Amino acid sequence: MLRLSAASKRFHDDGPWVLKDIELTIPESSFFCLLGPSGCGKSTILNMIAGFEAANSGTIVLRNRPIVAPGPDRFVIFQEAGTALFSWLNVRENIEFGMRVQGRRRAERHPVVDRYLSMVGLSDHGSKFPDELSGGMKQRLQLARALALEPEILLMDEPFGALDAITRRRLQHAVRSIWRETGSTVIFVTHDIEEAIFLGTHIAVMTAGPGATIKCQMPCEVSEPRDPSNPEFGGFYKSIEELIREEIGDE
Amino acid sequence: MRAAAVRTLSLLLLLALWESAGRLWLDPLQLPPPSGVAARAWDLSATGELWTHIAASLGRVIIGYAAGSAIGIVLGCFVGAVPVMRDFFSLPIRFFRSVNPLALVPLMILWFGVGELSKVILIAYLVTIVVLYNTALGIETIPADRIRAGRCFGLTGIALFVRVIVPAAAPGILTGLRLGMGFAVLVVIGAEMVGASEGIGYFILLGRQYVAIDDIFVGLLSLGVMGVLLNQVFLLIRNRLLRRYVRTILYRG
Amino acid sequence: MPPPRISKRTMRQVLSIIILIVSWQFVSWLADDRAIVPPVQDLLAKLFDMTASFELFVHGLDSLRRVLVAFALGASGGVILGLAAGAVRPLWTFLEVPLDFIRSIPPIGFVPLAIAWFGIGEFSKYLVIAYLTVIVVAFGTVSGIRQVDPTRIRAARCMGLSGWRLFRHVVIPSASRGIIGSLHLSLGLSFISLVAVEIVGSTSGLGFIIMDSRLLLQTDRMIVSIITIGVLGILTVLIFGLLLRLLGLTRFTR
Repeated sequence: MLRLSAASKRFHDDGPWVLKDIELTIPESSFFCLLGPSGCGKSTILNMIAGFEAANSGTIVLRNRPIVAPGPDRFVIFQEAGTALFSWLNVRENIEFGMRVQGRRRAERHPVVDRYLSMVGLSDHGSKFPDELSGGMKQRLQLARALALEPEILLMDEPFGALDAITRRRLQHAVRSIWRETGSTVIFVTHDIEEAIFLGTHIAVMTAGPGATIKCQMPCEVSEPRDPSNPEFGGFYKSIEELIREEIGDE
Repeated sequence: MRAAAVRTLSLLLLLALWESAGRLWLDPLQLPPPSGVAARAWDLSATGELWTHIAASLGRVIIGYAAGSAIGIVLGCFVGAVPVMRDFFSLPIRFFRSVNPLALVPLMILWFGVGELSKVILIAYLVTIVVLYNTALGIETIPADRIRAGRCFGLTGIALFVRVIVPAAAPGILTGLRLGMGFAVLVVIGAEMVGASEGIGYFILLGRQYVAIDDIFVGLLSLGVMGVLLNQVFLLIRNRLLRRYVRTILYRG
Repeated sequence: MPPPRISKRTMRQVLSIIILIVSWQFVSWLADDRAIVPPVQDLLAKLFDMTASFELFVHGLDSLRRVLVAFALGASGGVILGLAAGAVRPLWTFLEVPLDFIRSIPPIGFVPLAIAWFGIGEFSKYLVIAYLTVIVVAFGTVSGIRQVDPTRIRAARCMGLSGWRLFRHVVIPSASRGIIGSLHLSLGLSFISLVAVEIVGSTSGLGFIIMDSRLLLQTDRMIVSIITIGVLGILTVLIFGLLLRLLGLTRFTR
């Protein structure tokens, strides 16, 4: 279990609070969607969980251990795959990289690479370089590269924000089935309500910044298969949309 | 602020090191200390000798550079904007660009004599080539949609060229102008060493012949200061007056 | 078999070369002095002479050796200096201003100083050609390191990399694009410095031949040497690029 208690963050000593008293409880093996208006500080929460940014006050605890630095138990899938991937390594080598620097033997690494390569559907593209991949394929590669290290928590920062609708939907399906298969916890930041309902087992809605907090946190129990044209899906969508509208008004 | 302090400190430390090296360990005739160089520079500028040489070099650079950049921009616009001309000029430009600039110094002197003409022509020629190339490249690499957007406003021909194409190619043109400045200073020094009776290049070579190393240092420092100042003037014009045209260079991303 | 198609573009390019040659012939005819503006046939004859007498070969080899030795030394020095300065920030704050100042002085200015200090031997020549490479490559390396995207650093930290291992496995490969770019640039600059040292104080090399021809009023010999240096420069840069490809280093420029 990952727990944030009264976590607050500001970037300058006398600056405004970006996040104020964040309370979040993220159960193990959940698919946790963090939903909020643009610029409210969703990514900052993710960066604190990843260990890139420290909270100014409050605690962030993973299984009774406070998070102080990045580690291989948490892996971030960045929105800009182009810069996050290693441009000088081909697809296979990108996936292999993490295991290589951890000192695992070659014979041990190859089956893992093969496994995740096929899991994300890139088996035919193993020797391509990142700049030869489409946006969707780059995100699949980022996913495979993270999964190969078998992290407890996958942190996804609006990973499909820059993709077209069809690619996006296909990747959502892929992420969901991978999450089921691996059993790891996923924390997924998005500003797209439909995406959150489609993917999540839990949804937390944030207030608008500055000094954003968690407005509410709820389980997402829409029945499977999740389908936006389903009335149950639509009803849930309406209720969350209402929560967000309270925050940003009718712009 | 801290970085600025460290920089100042580094320069002071370097000067102190150089001063003590020149005084304590090495022959001051071989490595004149900064104080000696400064005194020599003072003498040379008091008699006006240094200024004569600087003025001679600067004069050549300015005349050649002005002519070369004007010709280069005009030709570059022509070559970049007319596709047929691109084909005609691409190989010749590649040939002239690959000719070593300093290798042309003796040829120009042989053709046009040791006077001013050979130096000015050589500078103008080199600046023309580099400005021409970069201007044409700047125009060729304008995104097609930007030109289409201009045409959506009903712009065609000269109006399109002046209002959209030239401003959009400005970063390329300015790159050429900046590179051209470097070539101009390089080649004027070369020309003055091979055949001249005044100018910084001539002055440095003279220092070598009389084994007056402090003179060589004065010459080199003048060159460095000249280079830095010319570059600063260029950046000032670009970043103040022409700022709007180079935002893609200044704020990349 | 269908006749080979030649594009308009190629035809224009061939035509442009023909125009260039014809204009040269015209200027030569206009100048009315084969010794001053030699026509193409004279240049070709001279090229043949100089090849047959091994003059081009011997002096070309001297020039090439100077560039290659100095470039190898300068590039290694520049990369080492750049990596050290990129890793240890105060070192670069210390070096940046003096190096930038030296860089703004044209290399030919240093030839007389190098000769005065170290004589006209090969050492002073290597030094003048190499110093600029050191500076250019050090600047390229440091800016390559500075420009590594923070997202990439974060991705690497997710894998548990930090400190020296982060530098070695992620920062250096990411900076390699800038390093390789500066190597290309300084290889080109090395040829300019080469001619600088050879026209001011040398008794061998193609630059020397150019100066020698000026004294002897042999314009044809001079022009053949000028073009040979240009060709040598192009070939060297081309081979350098090929070498990078063969060594599998082009992946770093993606």
